[in-house]
Amino acid sequence: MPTPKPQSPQPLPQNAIKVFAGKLYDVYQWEQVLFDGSTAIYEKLKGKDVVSVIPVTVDGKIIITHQQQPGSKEYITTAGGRVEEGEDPLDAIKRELLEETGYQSDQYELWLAFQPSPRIEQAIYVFIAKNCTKIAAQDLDAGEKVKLQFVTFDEFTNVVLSDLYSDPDLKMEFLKGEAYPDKMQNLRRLLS
Amino acid sequence: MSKIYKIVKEEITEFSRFKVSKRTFLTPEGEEKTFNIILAREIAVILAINNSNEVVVIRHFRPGPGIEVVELPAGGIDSGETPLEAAKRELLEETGFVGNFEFVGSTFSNPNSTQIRHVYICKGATKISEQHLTEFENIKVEFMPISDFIKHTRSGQMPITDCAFMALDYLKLLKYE
Repeated sequence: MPTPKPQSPQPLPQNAIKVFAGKLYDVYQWEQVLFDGSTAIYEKLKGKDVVSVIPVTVDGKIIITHQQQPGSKEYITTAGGRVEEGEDPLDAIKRELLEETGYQSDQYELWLAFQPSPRIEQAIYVFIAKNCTKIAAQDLDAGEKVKLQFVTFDEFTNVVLSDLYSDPDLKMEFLKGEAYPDKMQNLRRLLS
Repeated sequence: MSKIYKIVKEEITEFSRFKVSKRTFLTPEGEEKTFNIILAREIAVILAINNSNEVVVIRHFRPGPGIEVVELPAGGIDSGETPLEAAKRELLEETGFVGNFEFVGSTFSNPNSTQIRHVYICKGATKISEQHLTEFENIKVEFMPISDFIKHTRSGQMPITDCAFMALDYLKLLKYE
């Protein structure tokens, strides 16, 4: 069954025209009718969808990755990447997890799916992968540096809430967890 | 209620790490008294314990004592930052550790300074990165079993002994005999 795509809060309309094709993003424009009947040119980006995964090993440890990209400082995140044309997000995350960590899972669950920006047509999928086992060496390309670390749920919480963790969406989930104990219990259940 | 000493006059001289103020107080008896005091940022001090029950300490040169000391990670609270945020940031920058923070208390630093020190405990400290030091910092991270840290605190060889005692007291590690 294909993974359903989340709707943008402001979908790209039928009459939108691609005015620039970039490597990562295309720019679309369209004539938008405003509330008083007048029109204006509206603009929106379109990019490949993004997948990430929180991998949990057979012994209950979460795999975090210390990453560095050319021109960027080292940061911490979980494995992930872009969904290729025609690829299902689930297949994309299986591929990315294997490439970046050498680990494989027999139990994937889609946790979050959303389009974070009304000005960018791009979905983000966050999976949870249980029972991860190592089956291969990392397979990194020249633009990637990925170092693995294995942490408990409590350690993961502190990592996500630290300044070095890059993903704001996961930070938000854990901040909600800090505010609502039942939410944190739910996160603990999901990730153990 | 304690008596009120109102500031009536102040002249400030700025140095790189702190300011010195010539501050005149009006005593409750109506007398003016002038003191030279140090104006320094509030700081956060962290007693972090890793999963092997060791205290995460730092070794570096301190210009006041004029020697290399082993002490607790600590640092200034930036503007817009809460003491807890500063404690987490400083521990991560100076040592690369994160963990579960608990607030112990706040205290004055020395009688001639306006500085307040906020003391935190960090339990389950985990290393998640290398240090992020400024060009002025040359800090070595070391680990001390708790019993050694208590001895070190008692030796007086630490510039922030009072905060270390507050943290140890909070952890009920001081014996009342």
